[in-house]
Amino acid sequence: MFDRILLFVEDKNTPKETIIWTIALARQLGSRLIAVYIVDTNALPEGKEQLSLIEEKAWKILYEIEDDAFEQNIKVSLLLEQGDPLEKLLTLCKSYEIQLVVLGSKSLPPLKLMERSTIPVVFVNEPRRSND
Amino acid sequence: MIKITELLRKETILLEVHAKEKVEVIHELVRPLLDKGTITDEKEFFAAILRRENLESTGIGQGIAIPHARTKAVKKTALALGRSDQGVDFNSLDGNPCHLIFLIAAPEDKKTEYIMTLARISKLLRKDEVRIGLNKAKTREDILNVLTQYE
Repeated sequence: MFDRILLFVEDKNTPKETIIWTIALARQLGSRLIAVYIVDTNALPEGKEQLSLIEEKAWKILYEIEDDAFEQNIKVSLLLEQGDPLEKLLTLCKSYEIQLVVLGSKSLPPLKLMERSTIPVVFVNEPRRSND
Repeated sequence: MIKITELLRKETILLEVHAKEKVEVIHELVRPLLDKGTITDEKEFFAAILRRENLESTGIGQGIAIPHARTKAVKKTALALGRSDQGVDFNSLDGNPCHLIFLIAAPEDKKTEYIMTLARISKLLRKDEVRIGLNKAKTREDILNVLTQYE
């Protein structure tokens, strides 16, 4: 049903729960997981050095996901892209024939993405703590 | 902070790999790490690296592949680099053959170091000037100099 699942990850806005949930789903469905980090060019800090640091951090997050997925025998590919996250995400969904997008609830503006996406989008919330 | 130039040695750089096919290229890159004693069990390491290759593409695009494994068969984290003029098919997402192949071997209990090494190499190799420098380098020393310059 969902042969290709795209997991959209960001530095601070992707809770661990979103990643764990997506890996579990991919395992259950036997899907290929494509983990994507898009460096937001609208909010790029000045200087090549800063970009370089962001990219290294992004790869670290992506490889952590890869390692976790690998432990569970899930086919996984990693993508690090630059651009406007919403536009880029929609383009990637088309080019990689994605069938489901998963992202953390604090990520991209949810309504905008849902309005424009032609495939199902799942937002995975961080579990509420008891004192929330 | 992990430095790529501390993990990659002159002896583990192959200026031109002979093999044309992915598995054979990986065999070629494993050889110098075996000779140095970094990999203690060739069979186990190879099984780990192939398990990953069968599950995913370690070709990250732009002519780069980073086959990697973290296993008990490795004594300490190390790198090998092979260049291929013709290019090797690593099933990269962008569909292009790979000309720079970095192999990473890490001990099972060094997850953080392993992830940091992968992240650092991936970041470095996204820079056009690094890829051009590595592809043009005439000697192993030149290769290490390019990495030192941009790291």
